[in-house]
Amino acid sequence: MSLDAARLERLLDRYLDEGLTDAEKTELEQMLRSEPDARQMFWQHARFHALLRESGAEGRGRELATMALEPKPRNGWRAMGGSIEAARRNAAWVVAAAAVLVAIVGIWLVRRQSASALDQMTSGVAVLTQSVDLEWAPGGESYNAGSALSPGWLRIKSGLAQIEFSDGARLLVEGPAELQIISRGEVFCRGGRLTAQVPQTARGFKVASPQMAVVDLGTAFGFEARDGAAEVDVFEGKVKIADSGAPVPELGAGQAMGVDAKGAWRQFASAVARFPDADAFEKKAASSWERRHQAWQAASEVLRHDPSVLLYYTFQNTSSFERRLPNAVSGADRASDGAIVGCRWAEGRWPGKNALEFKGTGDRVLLEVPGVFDALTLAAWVRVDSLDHNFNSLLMADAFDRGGMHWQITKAGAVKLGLSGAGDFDTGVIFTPERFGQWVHLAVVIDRTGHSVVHYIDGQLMSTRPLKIEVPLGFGRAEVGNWNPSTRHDRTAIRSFNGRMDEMLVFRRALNAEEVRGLARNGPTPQPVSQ
Amino acid sequence: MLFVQHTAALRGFVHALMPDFGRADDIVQETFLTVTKKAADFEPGTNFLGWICTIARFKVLEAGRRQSKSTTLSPDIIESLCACEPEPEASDERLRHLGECLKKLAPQSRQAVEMRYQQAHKPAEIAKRLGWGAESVYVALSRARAMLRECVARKLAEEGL
Repeated sequence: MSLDAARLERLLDRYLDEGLTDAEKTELEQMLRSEPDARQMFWQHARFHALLRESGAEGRGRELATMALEPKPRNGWRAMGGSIEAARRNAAWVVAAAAVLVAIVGIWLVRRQSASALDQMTSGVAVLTQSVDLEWAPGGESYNAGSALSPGWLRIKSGLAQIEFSDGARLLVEGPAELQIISRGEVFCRGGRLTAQVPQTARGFKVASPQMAVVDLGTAFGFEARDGAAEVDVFEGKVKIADSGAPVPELGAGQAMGVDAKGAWRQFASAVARFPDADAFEKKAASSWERRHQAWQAASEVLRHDPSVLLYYTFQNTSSFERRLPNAVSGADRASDGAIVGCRWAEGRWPGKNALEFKGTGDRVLLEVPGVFDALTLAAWVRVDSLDHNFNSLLMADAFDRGGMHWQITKAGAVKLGLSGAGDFDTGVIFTPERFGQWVHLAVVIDRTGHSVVHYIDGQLMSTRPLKIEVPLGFGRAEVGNWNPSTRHDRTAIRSFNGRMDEMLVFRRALNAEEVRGLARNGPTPQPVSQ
Repeated sequence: MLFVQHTAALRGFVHALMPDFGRADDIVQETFLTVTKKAADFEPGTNFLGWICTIARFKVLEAGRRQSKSTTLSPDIIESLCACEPEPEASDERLRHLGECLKKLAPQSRQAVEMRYQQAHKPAEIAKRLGWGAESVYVALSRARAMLRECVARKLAEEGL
C-alpha cells in the first residue's frame, strides 16, 4: 500500500471546492483508479460534503422564507448577493420547493395511514408456542413454532401443537384437527381433540363446535369434536355448557358430557387419559427432538465432507466459554475458523441444538473467506428477533470492492444481497413481525456464469434476477451478524443483527433448487421420519 | 412517490460526483423529470434508488462533457466509484450533530463554511468577498471540514451508536 492519505485528503478537498488543476485532477484520478482505500475515502469525504450542503440548504431555505415575508433589504454577508436575477431564480426555487413539500406531506400522510392499517393487520391473537411432529393439511396455511396466529383456520394433519392465546388460555391440540381461531378468547373446533388450560385471567374462554359450546369458569378440560359429535371432560374447576339442550348447565371436576350428531346428550365420568396432556407432550417432544438431532447429525456429516463447501459453521459448541467458531469442513484450514466477539450461546432450532445469539451492537463473528469464485451459495438458519437498523447483517464483506458481497436484511424485512459492481438483489418483504422469533432458512445462489442471483426462503424460490458482473465473487475478511467497514475512519451506521443463527454454509458452487430444498428440510417442520 | 423518499440519498450521490452546487441541483431536478417520464419502465421490487442513481449518473457524465473546464471526474473513475458506493446513511442524526458542531467553529471559518455551503459560492468568490487570498479559503474550508467530521463522529460515538 503506497497510499499517501494526507495527499489524497488534500486533493479530495480541492476537488470538492472545485479547485483542482489539470495535473492535480490526473493525480487524484490515478489514486482513485488504483487504490480501493482511496475510493472509500472519496465517499467518506464526498458524503460529508453533501451533508454540509444539506445542512446549508436547510439554513438557506429558512432564510429565503424570511426574505419572502419581509422583503426589506438586509445587511451583512447573509444578503443573497443583491442581484435581482438571482432573487428571481431563488423565488422560483421557493415555489418549486413548496410544491415538492406539499407532495411530500401528502405522501407522508398516505404512508402513515397505510402503515397504521398494517399495524392492525399484524395483531395476532395467539402464538403457536410448541409443536411436535406437526404436519399441516395440504392446501391450508402452515405455521412454524413461534408463529403469531391471527383469527382464521388451522388445519392440522398430524402431530401436536401448543397454542397460547393472548388472554392466557393454553390449548394442546392433537392432530388431525380443524380449528378456527375466533378471537383471543374463543376458538371453534370442527374436528379434533384438545386440552384447554385456562388461568384466571382467561376465565370465560370459549370452545365451540357444531354441536356443543363450552365456556370455561377457571379450569382444565378436554374437548373433542368428531363427525358432528362432541364431548367435554372436566379435569379441574368448572365449565358451563352454553347450549340450551344440555341436561345440566355446568360440569365439575371428574365429570364429562357428550352429544352425538343427532343431538342426543349423555353424561359420564371423565377420562383424562384420552386427551393430550403437558407431560406426554414433553415426552413426545423430547423423542421428536432426539430424532431430529440424529437426522441433523447425519446430514451434517455429509456436508462436512462435501468438497464444494468452503465454510460450515454448525454453531454446535461444547462449552459456553467457546470463543472460537470452528469451520466444520473436514480438513479445513484453521484460519477459516471464526472469532466470536460478544454474542451468547443459546438454544437453537430444538433443545440440544445450539445457536449463537446476537444482541448487542458489538456482537459479531470475524472470519475470512479467501479466494475468488464464479459461483457461491450462501445458506443459513436464522431467527430474526427484530430488525433494528436500516441494514441488519447476515454475512458482510469488510471491504466492498467489486465482487464483494453484503448479505443482509433491510429494516422493511427484505433479504438483500448487495454485490459490489452489480448492484442490489432484493427479495420482497419476508420478515414481518409475525415471522420474528421463528427459525427461517435463508439461501442465496450467486451464479456469475449462469447469470443469476436466486433467493430462497425455507427452500422455496423467492426471486430470480439476472446478474452481469465482470469480476469474480469473493468475501475476503468478513463478519457474520455485523459489519466492519475496515477502511473507513469515521463512525458508520450500525448494522448488527438481532436474533440467533444456527448453521451457516458457504458453497463454492451454485446449488440447484432441489439441493437448497434439501438444506431447508432439516427444518422447522420436521419431515416424517420412518421409525 | 418513491422518489421523494430517496431524494436525500440521491442528492448525496449527485453532490459527490458534481461538486458544483448549481449544476448538482439541476441534475437532481432533471433526474426527477426523467424518472417521472420513465416511471413505467421501473420494475417494481427492484432497487429504486439504484435505478434513479443510474439515471443521475448519466446526467453527471453528460454535464461533464458539456463543461469546458471539467469539475467532474473522468467517466471511468465515476464508474468505478459507483461500483463501490457505500449504502446511504441515515442523515437526520448527523444533521443534528452537525448543527451543534458548526457552532463550535471559529467565526472566520464559520463564515467561509456558510458562504460555501449555505450560499453556494465558489472559493474564488468567497476570497473576493472576504478579502482573503484564494489559498486561505481552501485551507479554511478543508480545516473546517476535518474538524466538523471529527466532531460529528465523536457525537455519534458518544450516543453509543
